[in-house]
Amino acid sequence: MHTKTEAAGATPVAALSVITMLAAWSLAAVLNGDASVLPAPWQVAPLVLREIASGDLFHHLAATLRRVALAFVLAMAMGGALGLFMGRSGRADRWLDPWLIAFLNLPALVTIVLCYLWIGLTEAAAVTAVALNKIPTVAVTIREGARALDRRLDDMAQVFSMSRITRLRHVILPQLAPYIASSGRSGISLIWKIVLVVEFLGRSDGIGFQIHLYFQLFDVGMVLAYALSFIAVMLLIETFVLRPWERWATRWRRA
Amino acid sequence: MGTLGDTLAARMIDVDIREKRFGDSPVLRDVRFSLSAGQTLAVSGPSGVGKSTLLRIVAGLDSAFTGQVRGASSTAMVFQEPVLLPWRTALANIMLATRVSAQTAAAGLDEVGLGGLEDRFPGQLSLGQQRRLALARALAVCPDLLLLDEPFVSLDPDLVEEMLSLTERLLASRNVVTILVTHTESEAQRLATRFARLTGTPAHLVED
Repeated sequence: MHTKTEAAGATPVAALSVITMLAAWSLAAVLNGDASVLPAPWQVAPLVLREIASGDLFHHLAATLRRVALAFVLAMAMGGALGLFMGRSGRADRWLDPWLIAFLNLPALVTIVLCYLWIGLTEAAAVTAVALNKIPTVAVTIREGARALDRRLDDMAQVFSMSRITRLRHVILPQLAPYIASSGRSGISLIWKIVLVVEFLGRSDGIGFQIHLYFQLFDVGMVLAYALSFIAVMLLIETFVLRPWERWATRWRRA
Repeated sequence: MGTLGDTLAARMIDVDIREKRFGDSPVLRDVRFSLSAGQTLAVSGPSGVGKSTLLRIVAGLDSAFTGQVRGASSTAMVFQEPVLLPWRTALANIMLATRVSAQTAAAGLDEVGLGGLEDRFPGQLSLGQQRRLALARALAVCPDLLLLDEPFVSLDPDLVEEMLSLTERLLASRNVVTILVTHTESEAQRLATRFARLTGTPAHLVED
């Protein structure tokens, strides 16, 4: 009952919050008075529409989304497996922990530059660089989850000789679901920011490439048009993909 | 000292634990018994004597001991707590653990009085219903060996009576070797055909 009331109140509050943000932006733009420095929302909107009409926006959005998706899947799979392994085996944890700390503290820029230098200015290098940045943080979160796994359920699975795959799918992964959701959510926002840097430095399409282009032309309006379009897409993914999935995965808690 | 001997010809389960240690301290020594189908052995003894350790060894959950456990091709266990998957329905809890068909699982639920509650999650069941689900899960595999680790602990007297009657009825219709660990004399009397105490340090088994 309480949750339902909260959920019902969430949408108008979120809408009001976005309206306040747009109002603050408009006010700042009007006070500033120079559209080349800070264009107002009504000046950026036509730019977005123009890019949509020309097909450019979708072309670059698709390129960036593809990289985000690939890097996300790669980082979640490898970071998840590494975290689970380290959380379950004290020995593996002791051996791999220094590596994890080293990679956690490696600046994204260094990974990106090294990947481009070693692998070349390719799509594979771009995706690898982004995934490498995210794997350690996923591993740390999933490791926490793996350490908190219920030993009694392990015993039960063993007594009933449940297969490895059944155990993973029905015993372990549901326990890790909150940790996966949390690292997924922080992961997707971190990943798209790094993807933009990767595109800025060494790709010839994508939102990051377009921002690089308009940065060189000092076109603030177009920089904002591309950045905001992508933020809007990520918000839609959060609302229509991540949240529904999380609700589905945790439905047993509310049952 | 009377360890339980190989008294019956139709032996099914042989337990021969020469020693079990935790670090430097031996917990169990020379625990030997054999049980045949249809027999229920009640094991009692003070807290911390090693009853749960004995059960974990027989269940195959602890292999760090000298000796051997032979004869069980399928083992099922009812734990002190229900130990269910809270994110799966009652029916799925049985099917996933035991690989039986939905039909068999539903029949098992029916047998313990949970017919019609197949789609409930464990959180939607009362504690008594969760215990019955755990019992249905254990029996769904048609085990050779059924292990009950204080299955009625922390239940109120009415529920204990209900669970005892149910367990009694279910065991009577099955030809299974059962080992029941319990603190309570009355539970042992109701369910067991043989009685033993774990006693001493390291503990050994004494038949009553």
